[in-house]
Amino acid sequence: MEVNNHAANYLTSRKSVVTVSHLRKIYGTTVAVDDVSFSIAEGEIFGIIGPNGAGKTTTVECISGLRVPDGGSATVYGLSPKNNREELRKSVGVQLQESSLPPRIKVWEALELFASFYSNPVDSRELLESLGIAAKRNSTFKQLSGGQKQRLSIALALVGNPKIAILDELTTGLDPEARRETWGLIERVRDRGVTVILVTHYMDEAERLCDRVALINHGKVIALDTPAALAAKEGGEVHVQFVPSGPVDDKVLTALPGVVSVEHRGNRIVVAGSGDVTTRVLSALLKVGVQASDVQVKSGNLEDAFVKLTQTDDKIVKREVVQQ
Amino acid sequence: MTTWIPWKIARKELKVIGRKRSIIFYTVGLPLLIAVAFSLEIKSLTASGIPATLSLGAESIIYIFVILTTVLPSTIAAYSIVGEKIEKTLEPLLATPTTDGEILLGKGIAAFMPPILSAWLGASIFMATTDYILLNAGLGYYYFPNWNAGVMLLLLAPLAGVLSIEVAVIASSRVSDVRGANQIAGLMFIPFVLVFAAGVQGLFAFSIGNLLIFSAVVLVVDTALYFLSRATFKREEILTKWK
Repeated sequence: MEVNNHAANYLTSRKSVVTVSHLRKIYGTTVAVDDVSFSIAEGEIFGIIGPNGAGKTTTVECISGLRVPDGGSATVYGLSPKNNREELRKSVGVQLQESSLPPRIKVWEALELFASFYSNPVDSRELLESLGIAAKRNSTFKQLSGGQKQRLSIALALVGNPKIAILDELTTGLDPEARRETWGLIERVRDRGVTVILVTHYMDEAERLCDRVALINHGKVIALDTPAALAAKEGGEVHVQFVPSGPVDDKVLTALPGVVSVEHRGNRIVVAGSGDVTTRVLSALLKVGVQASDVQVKSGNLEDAFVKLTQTDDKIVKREVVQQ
Repeated sequence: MTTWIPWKIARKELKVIGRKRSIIFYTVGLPLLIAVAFSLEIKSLTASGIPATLSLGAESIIYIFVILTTVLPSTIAAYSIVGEKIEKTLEPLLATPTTDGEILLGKGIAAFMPPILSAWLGASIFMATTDYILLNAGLGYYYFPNWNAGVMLLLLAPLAGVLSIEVAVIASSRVSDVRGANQIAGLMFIPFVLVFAAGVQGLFAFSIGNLLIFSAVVLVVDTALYFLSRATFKREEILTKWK
C-alpha cells in the first residue's frame, strides 16, 4: 500500500476520529473487503475511491454499523459499530448509495421524521435553508429534481447533527451543474465542523474535495495519500509544450534532470519528464538565450494515478490467481 | 425500546399509505361493500319473517370481517416492507439510530390499524343495519352486539391481523416483489376460509367456546411467528439478501 509522508503528517496534526484496522467482510464465497486499514482525522473530507465492486460501499457500511465485519475492526469516536451500534448511529449521518424516499412523502415530513430519531437534531428549517431547498419544503419527493433529491438526502444525513457524514456516490447521475453545486454543499458541510467520508468514483470530485483519498481495489487499500501527492507520484509524466524563439539543441533539454523525452511537433517542442521539469526547462532555455512562448503544462492527475495503480494491482492479483 | 419511535414510523407509514388510492380502496371499500351487500341479503331473508337459521347466517357474516383481517394487513405490510426495499426507500431509515424492533413495530402498527378499523367500521354498519331490519321484522330485541361478535371482532380479528403481518414480514425476506410476498402471506387466508366453510356446513359452531379456542390457537401461532419475523427483520439481512 502506498502511504507517504503527506498522509502521515495530516494525521499527526489532527485528532483521529475513525480508525479502520484490517477490516474484512465476506458474502458467501465472495471477499468484498479483504484487508482495509486507515484512519480519518477530525474535520477532513476523506475520499474512498476505487473501481466498481472494489469494496468501497461495504467498507463505509461497516463503519456506519449497517454491516457486521467478519474480521478486523472499525471504531468511530472510540465506539465500535458492532458493540455500540445504536450509540454510534447518533454520531454518524449516512447517505446511502441509490437510496430513495417514498414518492409521496413531503420534504418536511421526511425531515421531521428523521429529526425525531435523534436527541439533538438541528433545526430542519435552517438546514433546508442552508442547503437551498427551503422553497421545496411542501413538495413531495417525486416532485424534486435529481439535484434537489440529493440535497434532501444530505439534509437527512445531517438532520441528526452528526459528527461524521458518510456520503456514498452522492453525485452519481447528476448533471455537471448539479454536481458542482453539490460539491459546494459538501464543502459547507465540512465547514460546519462535520468530518466527511466521501465515496466516489469521480476522480475530479475527489481531487477537488478530498483532503486525502484511500484507493481501494479488490477489497484492499492500494494507495492512501492526498490527491495532489498521489497525482504527482503516480500520475505519470509532466508534459511541457512551448514555441521556442529560435533553434534549441535537444541535448540542452535531454541533459536536464528528470527529462525523459524531447519531441518536435511542427514549430513546437514537447518535453516529457518528472518532478519540477517545467522550471528546469524554462531556466535552461533562458540560459541559452531562447524565449519560450505559448507554454502549456500538462501534469498527471488523480485519474492517471487511479488507472496506473489499479492496473498494476489487477496484474498482481491475476498473477497470484494463476500461481494458485 | 423507546415507545414513541415506532409510532413516529407508523405515522409516516400511514401518511404514505393514505396517499395510495388502491390501498385505500381495498382497505376501506371492501369492508363497506360487504357490510352493505350482506345487510341487503339480511333484508331479503327477513322479507317473509325471521328465518330459523338467522344465528348461523349473521355470525357467519361477522366472521367474513375476520377473514378480511387475514388479507388486508398483509397487503399493506408487503408493500411497506418489500415494496420499500424495491424502491430503495427503506435504506435511509435503516441508517438512523432506530432499532430493528422499532422499525418492524412501526411498520406493523401501520399495516394493522387501517384494516382493523375498517373491518370494525364495516361490521358495525352491518350490525346496526341488521338490528334495524330485525327489529322491523318483529324480533323484539337487539340481536347485535353479542358475545360471539365481540370475540370475533375484538379478539380473533386483531390476532388474525397480527398473523397476517408476521407472515408478510417473513415472506418479504424470501421474495423480491410485493405480489410474491402477498401471495405467500395470502396463504393465511386458507385456514380461516376452511373454518368459515365448516361453519356454513354446520361442522363448526361459531360459539364463544369454539371461538375462544380458535383465538388461543391463533395466539400461539402469532407468538411463534413473532420470534421468526423478528429474527428475519435484520438490517444486514435486508441490505444483503433482500435483493
